[in-house]
Amino acid sequence: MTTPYRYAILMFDGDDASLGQVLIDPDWEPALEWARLQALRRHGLELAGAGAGEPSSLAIEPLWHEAGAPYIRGFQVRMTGAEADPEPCELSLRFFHDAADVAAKRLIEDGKLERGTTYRYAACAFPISPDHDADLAGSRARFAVERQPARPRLLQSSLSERLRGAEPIAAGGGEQEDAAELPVLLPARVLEEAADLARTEEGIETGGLLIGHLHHDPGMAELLVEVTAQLPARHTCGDATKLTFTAQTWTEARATLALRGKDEIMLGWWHSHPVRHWCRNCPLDRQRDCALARGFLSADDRALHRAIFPSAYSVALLASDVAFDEVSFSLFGWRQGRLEPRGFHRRQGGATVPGSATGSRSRERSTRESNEADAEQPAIERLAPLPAAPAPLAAAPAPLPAGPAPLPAGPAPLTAGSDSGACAERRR
Amino acid sequence: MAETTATGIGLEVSDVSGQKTALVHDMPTDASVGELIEGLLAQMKLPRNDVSGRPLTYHALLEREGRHLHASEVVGEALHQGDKVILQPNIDAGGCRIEASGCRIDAAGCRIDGSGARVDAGGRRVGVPDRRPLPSPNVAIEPPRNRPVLAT
Repeated sequence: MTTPYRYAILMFDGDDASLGQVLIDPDWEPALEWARLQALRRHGLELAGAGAGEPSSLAIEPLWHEAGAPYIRGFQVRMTGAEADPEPCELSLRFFHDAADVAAKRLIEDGKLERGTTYRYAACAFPISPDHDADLAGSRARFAVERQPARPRLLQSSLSERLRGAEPIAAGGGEQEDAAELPVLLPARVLEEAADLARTEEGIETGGLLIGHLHHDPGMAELLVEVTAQLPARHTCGDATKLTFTAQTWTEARATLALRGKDEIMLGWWHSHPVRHWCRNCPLDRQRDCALARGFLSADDRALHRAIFPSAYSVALLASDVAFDEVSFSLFGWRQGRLEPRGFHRRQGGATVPGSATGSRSRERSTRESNEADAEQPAIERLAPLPAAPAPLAAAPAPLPAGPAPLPAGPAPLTAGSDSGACAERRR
Repeated sequence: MAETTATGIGLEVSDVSGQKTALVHDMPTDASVGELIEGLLAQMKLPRNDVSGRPLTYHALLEREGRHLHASEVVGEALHQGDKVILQPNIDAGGCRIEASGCRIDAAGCRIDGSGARVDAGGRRVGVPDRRPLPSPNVAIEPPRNRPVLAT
């Protein structure tokens, strides 16, 4: 990836008085992944097969504001090379929101910005000399690493057939999914299983992986993310406010995927927020209005998604276990390089996953108040409370794989930091 | 496919989800696994720290043997040409940080209500920190006439 510019945020207070310039070093990876996804949607594997979309063939270029350089209104990701997608992918200034937020917090700490006030920002790009990259190259490791273009397995399918009968559930509880969004298909059975687990692990966060297929419809030039099952995360460490996925969690998930033998890939993850436990000291009427009861991703959640599921088709499902209502679900996905609430299609049952076993249970759409239906709210799906008896856990088979060797007794941490030794591992 | 060279071995590397893959060329056989992982994190743009700045712990799964490598193991002894290695972090999800207004939960599971007061298990409110929300960004600014220059 090349970007011969240095980017900065200019901060202003509510009266447009300058608060100074903050140099930023954006994490461009989500923007690059977004651009790759748009090319994949348009062209399927044609580009990926030709090697286009490799990190080395992507360039980030400023889009100048009408006021002229160095002010920008956004930037574009352009593929270079003979097989490149000729259509660059444009991203708006919204990409820099988080960087501006960090800058604002620093200004508050420095006493230059008041809490509770509105600030404004502009973004700038300044050309840098070629020596800048050369300096960075000098600090590289003593071996060569060649990043490979993402080549996800794509199934050729008719999207209209795949989506037939599925119920669209929009972010914010609206009636329609954003047409610009990549459609995501979630079986109701996956939601039921996640709800069961969230209720069963009372007061403790729990979670799992979402697996399935990517479909491409050449006729529509569109992709579909189809979740086929959830794999409960094992070997995790959980408490009321944290869920640690360990190396053993990932190892077992890979083994389970291999055992299923369905060519499924990891499409995302889910986890629960035990809101009924968090808010146990509050009366129910206050809990209904509490921010905790609405689906949200914490900073840790977002960092996990960025680290483990960087591809722009990946999704994060949140199950909020509240005391005053059914378990509610919120889905998040990448949009223009940012992780935001998004809609999905819910399909009854889950016929694509033989072997998963949960009884049918009553469900109903959420009828949330209108003040919760703003654009920042994720799609919300509610399930009826659980019966007293715990439900079966996984759709995936439980036995350990015969092929790979058993989990190691003592994996070796690399970094000098603590290895989350404080939490007790839970094995199901 | 990874290639053999005169100076080192070639490896295939993947992240947990398989969404990021890379080939390692000329991996020195006298290097440690820890050195391999350290170099891969930078090149594969994988995060080194969590949101609190604490270093993430990555493990290297050697697919051929189905075991995690020890950071002190020597590449030339533990790995073969063409081996596949998967980088696996210990990483947290959690609901303990809500930066916007409203309630949040601290690490001990104690609830912080919308006013910023901590509510202990007995329902008692402890301390009332600054309750004003963070500023909200407004990106639609008309750039000033004077041109900024890159700060040094």
